[in-house]
Amino acid sequence: MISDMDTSIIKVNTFGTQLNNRHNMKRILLLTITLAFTALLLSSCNLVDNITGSDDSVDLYPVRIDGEWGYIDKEGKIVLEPEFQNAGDFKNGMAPVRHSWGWKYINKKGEIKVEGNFSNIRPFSGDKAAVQFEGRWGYINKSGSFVINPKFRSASDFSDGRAFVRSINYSSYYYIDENGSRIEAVGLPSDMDYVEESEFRNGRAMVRDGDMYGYIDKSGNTVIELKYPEARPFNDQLAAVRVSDRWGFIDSKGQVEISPQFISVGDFGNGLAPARVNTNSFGYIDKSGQVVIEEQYQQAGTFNEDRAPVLINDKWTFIDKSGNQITSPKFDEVEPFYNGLARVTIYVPVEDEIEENYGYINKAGKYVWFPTR
Amino acid sequence: MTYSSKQQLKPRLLSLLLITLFGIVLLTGCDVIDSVTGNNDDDDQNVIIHPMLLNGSWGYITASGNTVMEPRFDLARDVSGGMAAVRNGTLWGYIQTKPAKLVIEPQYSSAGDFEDGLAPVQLPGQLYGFIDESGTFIIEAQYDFAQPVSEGKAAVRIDGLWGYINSDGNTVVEPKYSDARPFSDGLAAVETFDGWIYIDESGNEIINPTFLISDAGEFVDGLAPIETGDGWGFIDKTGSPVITPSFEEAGRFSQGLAWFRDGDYVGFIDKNGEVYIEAQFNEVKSFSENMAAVQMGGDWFYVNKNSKLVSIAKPFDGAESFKNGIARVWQGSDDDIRYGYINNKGEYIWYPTQ
Repeated sequence: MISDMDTSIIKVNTFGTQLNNRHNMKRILLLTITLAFTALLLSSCNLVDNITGSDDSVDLYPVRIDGEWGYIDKEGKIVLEPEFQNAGDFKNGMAPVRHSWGWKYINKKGEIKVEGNFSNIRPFSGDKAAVQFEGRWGYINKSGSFVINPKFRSASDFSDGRAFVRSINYSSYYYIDENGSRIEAVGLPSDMDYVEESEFRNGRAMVRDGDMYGYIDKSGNTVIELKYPEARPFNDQLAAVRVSDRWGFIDSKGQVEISPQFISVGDFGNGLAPARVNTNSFGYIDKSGQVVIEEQYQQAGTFNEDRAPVLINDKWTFIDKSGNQITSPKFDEVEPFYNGLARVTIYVPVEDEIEENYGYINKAGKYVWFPTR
Repeated sequence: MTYSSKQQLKPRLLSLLLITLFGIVLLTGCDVIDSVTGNNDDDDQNVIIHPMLLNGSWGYITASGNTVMEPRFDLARDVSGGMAAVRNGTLWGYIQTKPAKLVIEPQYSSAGDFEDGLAPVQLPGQLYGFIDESGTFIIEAQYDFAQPVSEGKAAVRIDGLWGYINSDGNTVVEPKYSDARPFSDGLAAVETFDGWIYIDESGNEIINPTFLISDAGEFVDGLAPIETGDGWGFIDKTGSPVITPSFEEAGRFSQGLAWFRDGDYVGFIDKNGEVYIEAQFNEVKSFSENMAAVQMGGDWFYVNKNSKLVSIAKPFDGAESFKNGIARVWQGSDDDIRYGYINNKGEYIWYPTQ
C-alpha cells in the first residue's frame, strides 16, 4: 500500500514537470496536482479502510497509469487501482478488462464476474456482449452464458436490437435479431470495415445497391428507396442524404425535412448538425436548417451530452450549444462525452516517438484526470 | 465417393447403436433391479459404473466419482446388460457391476456387449458363440462373426453371409445378406446386392423401395437415416422418404433430433425435417439427456437442447454423450490422454487422470 502511494506521488511530480516544460498552463497544473493528490488521499483512505470499489450507480472511467489500467470516478478519484493490461468502458455495470492475460468482465467493485476462454471481448450493449470464442464470435449475457452461439466470423455490438455479423463460412454478411435469427435484406454491406455506419439507429440501417443508398427497417424491409448517391446513418431522428451535389436531411419515412442545400454535413445530435453552407469551414445548423453556430471549424463532430468536438488549428476542443469553447483547442484526439466526461488524448514526444497520453475533462472543460501514460 | 463416405459412416452408426443399446440396457436394468430389491438411489449409482483410467490402468467409478473397482485392466469398456468387458493383454473377460468384481476371467480374443443375458465371444482361434453371465456357452461357437443381441435377435455371419438367430440359438433369418444391422423398432437394415433394405422380425423384406439405398441406419421413433444418390434423408416404416434425401450426411434420431452436415458444418433437424439448430459445428455427437457434445475450432463443448446454446463452454479434447447424468471427456491425446467425467453443469466429478 505504502509503495503504491509512493509511486503515485512520484507520478504526480513527473507529469507536473513535464507539463511545466511543455505547456504554459500552471493553473491547470496546480489544479491537476491538487485533484490527483486529493484522489490519492481519498483512494488511500479507502485502502486503509479496506473499502475498495464502488456501488453500481457511480460512473467509472478507464485510465492508464504507467501502462496499467484502472478506473476513476467522475471527480477523478481512483476507484479501481491500476492492475489491468487493458480496460474498456463500463456499460450496464460491466466492463471488459484484460487481466492476467485473459479477457474478463468486471463489475464496478472490480470483481471478476465473467471469465471464459475468450480471445477477444467487447463491452456490453444492452444485456448482451459480443465475445470471441474458438475463433468465432457469439454473444453472452451478464452471467457469462451464451445467449447466441459462437457461430459468426465477425460480429458487431447490438444497437437498436440488431447486430451485424459475418457468417461462419465467410460467405455472407447480415443482420441478426436479439435471438440471433437472420434478417433477410437487400443491399447489405459486404464488409465490416465501417461497422458504425451499418448500425441500426432510430429503427433504420443504411443499405447500398451499387452506387445508390437507401434504408431498411428492423425487419429488413426497404423503407426508403435506394436513390441517394451518398448518405449517412440516422441520428437524432434524421439522416443526411446527398441529392445531386447538395446535402439535406430526411426523416425515417423518407420525407425531406431539410432541403438539400449544404456542401457538406455531419450527423444531428442534441438538435444540431455540423454543416458547410458556402465556405470551407463547418458551422452548425438546427433542425429547421438555420445556421445557429457560424462556419469556423476545420472539422466538426456530432453533439452528444450537449457538447460537440471541433477542430481548430489542428487541435481539438469541445463547444457547447451556443458555440462557446469549453477549453482552448489543445487535444490531439477526443472521444464523445459519456456520462459527463470526455476522454482526451495528447501526443507527447518521447525521444523519437510519440506517446499517447489519455485524460478526462468534464463538461466545463476542466481536467478531472490529467493525461497520463 | 459414395463408397468412401459409407465406410466412414459405419463406425459412427455402430457407435450410435451401441449408445442406444446401452441406454435400453440401463433403463431395463434399473427397472428390474428396482422392482426386485426396491433399491434407493445410492445403490443405483453402484449399478451404473463407468470406466476410469488411473496410473495407466483401467478401473471403475460410480457416477458420484467413488472408485468401485481399483485400476487393474489394460482396457475397460462401458457397462452393458449389467456386465462390462475388460481386457488384460490380448484377452477379454467380463466384470459384473453389483458388486463390481471380475466374474469371467480374460480368455476371449473378441468379446461383445451383454444383452438379454448373452454376449457374443470368440476364444482364440475359434468361431464365435454366445455365453451367459457365468461364462458358459449357451449358443455353441459356430459363426464367423456375431453381433450383440438386440430386441431378442442377434445378427450372425456364416460362410460370409449374414442372418439372424434368436436368444435360443434358433435361426430366424437365413444367412443371405452381405451386411446386417441390429434390430431396432422391430426392423433391421440388411444389405443385398441391390443396396440396403429392411426386414421385419420374421425376415420379411418389408421395405424395399424403388430407389437405391446405398447405406442405412436403424429406426428410432419410426424414422431411419438412409443414403441415396441425392444424399441422406429419412424413411418411415412404410419406406417412404418422409425427410427428403438432401443432406451430405445425417445421423439417426435421438431425443427427437438428428444431426445433419451442410458443407463444413453440422447442425440438427427435427422430425419434420426442419432445421432445429443451424449448421455451425465442426462435428457433433447425438443428443442424450438434453445435451449434445459439439466440436468448434478443434475443441469439444456441450450444447443444450432446449436453449440450443452452448451451455458447457469448457474446452475438451474429446467429449462423449451424457449417460446417467455424467459424460466422459478427455484432455490430451495418444500417450498423454487423460479421461475424466463431468456432470451436466460442466463440473468434474472425476478430474481427468491418466
